Amino acid sequence: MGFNKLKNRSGKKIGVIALSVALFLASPINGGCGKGKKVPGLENFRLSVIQQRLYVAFVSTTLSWDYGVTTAIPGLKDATVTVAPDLITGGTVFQFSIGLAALLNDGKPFPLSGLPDGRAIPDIEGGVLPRWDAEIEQLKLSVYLSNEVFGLFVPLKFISKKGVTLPWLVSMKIRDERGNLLGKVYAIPQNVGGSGSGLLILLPYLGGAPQGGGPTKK
Amino acid sequence: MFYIQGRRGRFALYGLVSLVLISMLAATGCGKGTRKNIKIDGVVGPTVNFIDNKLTMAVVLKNVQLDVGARVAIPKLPNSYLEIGPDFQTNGLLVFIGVDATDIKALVGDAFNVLDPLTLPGGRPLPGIAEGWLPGLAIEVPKLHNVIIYAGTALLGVFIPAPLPWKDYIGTFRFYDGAGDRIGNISIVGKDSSDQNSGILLLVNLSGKVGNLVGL
Repeated sequence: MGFNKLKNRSGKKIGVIALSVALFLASPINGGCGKGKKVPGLENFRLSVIQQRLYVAFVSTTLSWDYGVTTAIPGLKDATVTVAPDLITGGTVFQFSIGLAALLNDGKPFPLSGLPDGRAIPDIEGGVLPRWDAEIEQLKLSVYLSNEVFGLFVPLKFISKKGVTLPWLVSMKIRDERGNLLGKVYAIPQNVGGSGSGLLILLPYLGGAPQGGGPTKK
Repeated sequence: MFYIQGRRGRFALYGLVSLVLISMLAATGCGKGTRKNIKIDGVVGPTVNFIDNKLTMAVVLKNVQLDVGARVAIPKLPNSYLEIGPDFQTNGLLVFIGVDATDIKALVGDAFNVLDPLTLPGGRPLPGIAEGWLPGLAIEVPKLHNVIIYAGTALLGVFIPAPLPWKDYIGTFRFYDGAGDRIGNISIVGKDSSDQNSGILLLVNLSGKVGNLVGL
């Protein structure tokens, strides 16, 4: 298969990528039970700043792709998302990168917002952060960009085979291989109107270095 | 156990089916692939061999012409070299890199101490590397801007600038040797938002077959 053919498919592929991220991110909720010890199927969580860019990545050990794509995130300046075969493990690497200037919107902060449905962001003082919404195909992503916390919200519905929806917020800690706390993942239940559920990742970030603690506590 | 349902869920299902179908086109099994390397328009190779105690990587850029050749020393790798010159078969440019096993052993053991962290030129993360970066060094090469050598604890890679028409896309594929064994990843790096920094990225895993050949 030639690269041109792959590139021509990239529009749909972007949606698949975004969706795969969402699907993959949803999988820890199924099996993690919020113990905070280890996220099943997820390894090598990385958060770093190199040459004025923020890089966030993790490896899915349960997906094994023979090829992948890196592409710009539409509407979000200087940001890319990547899904690619992991060089070492045979799994699949998910990567997100953004320039720090874009992260801070060139000094013009994005409007402070909570979750897309207006509810407060958990574990964040005041419940709001500068938010940027991006649409990749049919999937709407919300990216939280501040000089303290990086966040990502993917709208998803969590519902059991018997039709029971996720009744309460579930959170789990993300740790690196040394046990350092990198951030938290939250499964947000639907609101009283039956919408607004999704998966939220919050990674504290201060002064260009990953922080050892979790997001800012109330 | 919770599942994804609703409108997004249907999209999820569509996406999952699409993913499976696309994967089936590209692979005959989970992670097994066709064990054939991607063909790149305007490029021959790259090819990887281990000859005369050197790990060699060669690629021909059909759309780049150079009348004379040059051999360039690689900083911090005293027994290795990079060579460019006209390719007589295609009239393109042959880029040949020979990294001596001695240099590889010295470099991969100490790369994080002696080399700067480098991403792709322009700042995009290295695909297939969770960190998005590796210790690396840039080699200034006539006609090619900077060729970058990357090294990790069990990785060796090279980025060769090449004029490619695509923009804002990078395709990454598993890379196989002549025997059909996976030895790394190859990425076709399209131009970034500044219309620059396109090229070919080859990352070789030194923890398996290649590492045994090198003697790691």
